[in-house]
Amino acid sequence: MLNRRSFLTVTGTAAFGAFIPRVASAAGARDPRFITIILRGALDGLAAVPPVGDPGYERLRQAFAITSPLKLDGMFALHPSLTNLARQYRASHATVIHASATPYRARSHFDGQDVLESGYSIPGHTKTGWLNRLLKVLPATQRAGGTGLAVGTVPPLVMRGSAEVMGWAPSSLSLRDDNLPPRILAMYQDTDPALARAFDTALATDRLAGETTGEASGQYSGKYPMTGMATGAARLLARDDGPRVAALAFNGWDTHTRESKKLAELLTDLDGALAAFETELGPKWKDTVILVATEFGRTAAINGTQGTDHGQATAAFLVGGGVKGGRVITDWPGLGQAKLYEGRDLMPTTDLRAVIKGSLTELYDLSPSVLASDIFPDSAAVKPATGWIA
Amino acid sequence: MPEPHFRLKNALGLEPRSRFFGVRRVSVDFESALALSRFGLGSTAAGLQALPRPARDLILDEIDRGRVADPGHGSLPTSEALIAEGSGFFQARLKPGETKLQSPVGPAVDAEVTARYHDTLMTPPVGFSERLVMFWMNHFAVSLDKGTAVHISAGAYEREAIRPYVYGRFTDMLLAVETHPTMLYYLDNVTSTGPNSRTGQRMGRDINENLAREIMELHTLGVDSGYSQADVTAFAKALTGWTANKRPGGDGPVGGFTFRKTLHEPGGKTILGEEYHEDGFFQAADILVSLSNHPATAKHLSTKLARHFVADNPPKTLVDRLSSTWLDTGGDLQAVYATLIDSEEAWAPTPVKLRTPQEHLIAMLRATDAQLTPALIKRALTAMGQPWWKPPGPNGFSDLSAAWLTPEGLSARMEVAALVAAKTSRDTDPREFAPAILGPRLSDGTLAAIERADTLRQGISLAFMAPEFVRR
Repeated sequence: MLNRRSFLTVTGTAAFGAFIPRVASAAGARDPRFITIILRGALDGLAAVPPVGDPGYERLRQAFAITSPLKLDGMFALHPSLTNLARQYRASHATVIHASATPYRARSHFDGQDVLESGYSIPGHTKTGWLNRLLKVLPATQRAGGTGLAVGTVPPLVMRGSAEVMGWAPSSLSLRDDNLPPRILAMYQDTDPALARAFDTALATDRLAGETTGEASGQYSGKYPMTGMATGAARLLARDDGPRVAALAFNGWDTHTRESKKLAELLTDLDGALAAFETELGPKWKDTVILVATEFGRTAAINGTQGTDHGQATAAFLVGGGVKGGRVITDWPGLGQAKLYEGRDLMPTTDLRAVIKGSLTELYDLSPSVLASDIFPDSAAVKPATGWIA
Repeated sequence: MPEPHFRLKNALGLEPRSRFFGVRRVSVDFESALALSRFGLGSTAAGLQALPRPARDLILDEIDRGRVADPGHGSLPTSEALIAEGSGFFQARLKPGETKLQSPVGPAVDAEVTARYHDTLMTPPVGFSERLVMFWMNHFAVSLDKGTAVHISAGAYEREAIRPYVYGRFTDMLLAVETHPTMLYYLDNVTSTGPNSRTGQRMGRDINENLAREIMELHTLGVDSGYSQADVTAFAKALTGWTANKRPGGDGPVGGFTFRKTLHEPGGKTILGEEYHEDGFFQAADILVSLSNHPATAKHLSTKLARHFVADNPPKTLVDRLSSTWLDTGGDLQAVYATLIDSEEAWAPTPVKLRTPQEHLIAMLRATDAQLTPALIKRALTAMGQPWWKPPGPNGFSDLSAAWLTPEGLSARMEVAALVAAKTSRDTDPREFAPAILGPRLSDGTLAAIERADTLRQGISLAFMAPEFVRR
């Protein structure tokens, strides 16, 4: 089979780039699972991945410096709640991309999420997301499962658009009457075929996600909602006839007050979610790439309410058996006062789009022109960085 | 196998009732039953029989009266007070000895939820006016996700800029909305600065087109109605200076609307070929009046109204009729609604629309004595995909039933149905309850399913999920 490099050698030109996915996909050998997790509310990258080796860190965080961090290298460590992620890092299944950011340079969650999820460089494009547009250009083999998966009753913007997407939402109100679903289905079968079809699909999806056994929801829904969502989503993604591409949104990262306690709980749940994907995806884990990203970071210093306010650069993660992990990739800007963005935030040095575009190139062999127009519009100037995928 | 009702009887210890003798078939006209769900909020717990007159007459009365309820009856704070309180909180810092500041945002939102879900949405016999409030709030959507100012004041915005104008002229509602601080914050006009204004020159700042674009695309003309990027830019320049007072000591109370001349782009503006001379605040106001009277706006809004109440693809005859009433009366909304109610097309006996999740929850709560806390109401709405005043974008929640008829959406509705059923008083018998609230719309198939229920609560859940309850 022709791979991309030999194709280029054979033709001697990159002019046919746009056609490469159809001709010779690296995915021929691999059937990847690509999962995007949006952390809504702005993750404090300096708390999740503290730069313990930077002299500015203790000065800025003082009493709020992370105690007993999990060391990654001489410079960076993980928050102690991220024990599974640390294990995945050591197994070369997790990469940290630090001081990274979207092109959005203001401080509104709403607009920042628009930019992160729509894939446009400015806010206001709220109709389609880059993951949905990705579905439309994937080779047919990658659409074997028919659809993408959006977790939640409202699909995250990143997965919204005209490509067909299946939805699944973990139970959030814990239904106690096991006989009610079949009763409703029977009623619809007698009275309303359209409702019967949709409801039947819902029950089937819930069954596959382990919902009817209560495992995906009951066990986690209260204390660990992210782990619950991840468990159900992973069960759907693990199937040969299931979706290959998924989007999840985890809320609550806006830690303006009493950050230490809140963030420890949130990171524990996120860590559980990453472990759940690994466990539930089983043999598919080796071909899995999970992108964890947030709309922007938080102020470098602690504010007056023991929290942090809206900032700029933060940490993003690539996790999964398909990731060339065990690395912190960063063009570290430093935390000296003069190095901070507007004197207050971690300076963005890596455009998240370069990371995502590079990962997608390696996973799906997409052409630069498709990536720079369809997936991340007007991003030709942001070259895909490669070397993310094992 | 025993008759179904015996199973119910055995499970509940109730007397069996025959479908043909025992169950009270309610003598309400079919049209009233339809009206309650299509144009209203659903039957109250008293049942359709409690309606004093046919529902269609009650709706026309509501339109004639032309008054909309005030949630909180004057007790809820103004947007000015709320925005000032919110901005004060986020400038505050912990004093020595304090461990926690109580944000005023959550309690403010909960008070708005309570004022509606425990009162204004529950009490009216039909609730056409409240449906209109929800329609316009979704048309002129704002989102609690945008930031503190919008989050804390969205309810006040609905009370101040939507409700008083529901039965007025569209022009007046449009002006109220676009001068409201909540909308100016939501669509970023508070910081939009003319490049040649005093502030623009001094600080090198520029316009933000968001408000201008959404007014043209969403609030008035509609997408693809013939305006250009140049029109949007010119309109955005005209709107510069429409902002809110952010600090004390300005030209008005904090949180209130103000026209700030130092932000305003000087000079005439041309929009849709028409010249608007420099007139400070009145320049953009004049443009808004023109936009509100544009035929494309009449068509856009007529289509949206018909789509909301009648069908995803509403009959052209209906849209045309609404549109010509709109143009003939200069956007008199009372006349437009009356035309809708008087139109044959609006009364097709087979419903093709789905209740939105919000309408569905309201209908469940109205039909029973169940009362949910604001926290649970918000959780239920979020679970069903219509989080309280958090639409996915400035275009609001979808008004297409096709968008709501999803497997995960129905599944979430079932959980909410079970939740409300569990909070309904124990002596509610679904075999009486369903006919009382659905009247002649109740089908034999649904009634049979309810009679087969294992428990009373399950029977109520089935009534809530019945096609007659879900569709309108």
